Amino acid sequence: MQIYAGLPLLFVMISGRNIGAFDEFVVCRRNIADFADGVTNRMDTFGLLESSISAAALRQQVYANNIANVNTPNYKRQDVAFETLFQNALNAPQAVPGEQHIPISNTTGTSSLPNVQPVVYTDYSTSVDNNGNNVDLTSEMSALAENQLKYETLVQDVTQRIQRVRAAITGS
Amino acid sequence: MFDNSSMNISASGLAANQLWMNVISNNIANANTTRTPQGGPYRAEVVNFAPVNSSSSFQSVYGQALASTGGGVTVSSITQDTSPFQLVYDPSSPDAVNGYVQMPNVDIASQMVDMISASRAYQANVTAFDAAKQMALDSLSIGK
Repeated sequence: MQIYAGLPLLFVMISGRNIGAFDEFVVCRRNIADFADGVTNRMDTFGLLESSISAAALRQQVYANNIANVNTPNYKRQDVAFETLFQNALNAPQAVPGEQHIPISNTTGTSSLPNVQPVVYTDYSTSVDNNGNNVDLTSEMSALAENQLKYETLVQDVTQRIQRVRAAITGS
Repeated sequence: MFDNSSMNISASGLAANQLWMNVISNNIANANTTRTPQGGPYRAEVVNFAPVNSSSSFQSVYGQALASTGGGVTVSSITQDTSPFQLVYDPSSPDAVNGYVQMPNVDIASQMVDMISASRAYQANVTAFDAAKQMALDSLSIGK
């Protein structure tokens, strides 16, 4: 599960995902990160933010599908697991390349954030209607709104980080 | 996001609920129709929804195994309501048999309830579409 990729492998893995126009941003980000990496380790924060953004985009897709199928008989709602998986990966002990032991906890800092992919799962936990459908429109709408806000927050975070890098480069 | 997938999903929901609304309108409009080309009174029509998976069959099976996202909703078929016709005593009607007229099996109350469901589901899909659009616009502002 843990991947100790250098910059190129991480780049390949990220660009392997089809997230459209975001790919161009990734190319720019790599160039920026090549500058900044020696000093700041910003690369991994950008990678994490990008994973979170694509998880939010996937969530939007899944919630839209749940809402579209609100009247479909026997449809079971889906959801996306990401934050919990990431937390688990953070807490899990990791083997260090070149070392003979596995540390008790991950204390290597942000330079080795685990690369976690969002996972879509079918949710059987909510109560089922008499037509076999378990989509609750109210909770779907609130989850949709929350996810949209989260997406906007992440986009603003990325934008402001880029602005800070730009300020460091240009000095203004 | 820019492969328009979530917008397509919401659009499929809009189309399906629009079709449902058309069928409901047709049922209500024909609530008193006693003669049809097929003979007999009008039968209420029922819309059947089905989720859309991926396009090809292998992709569909693979996607289900991986629990990937669906592709929205579609109206798989429109079937006729097989419940019995209502009998109304009206000897003056030309369609009366022994004084009783067979009236359509359209239940106005349930049609109105369905109409509210369709309308609410349509609104929910519009909201989801707006959210997807706003998120796509937001992602355009990255790096500005």
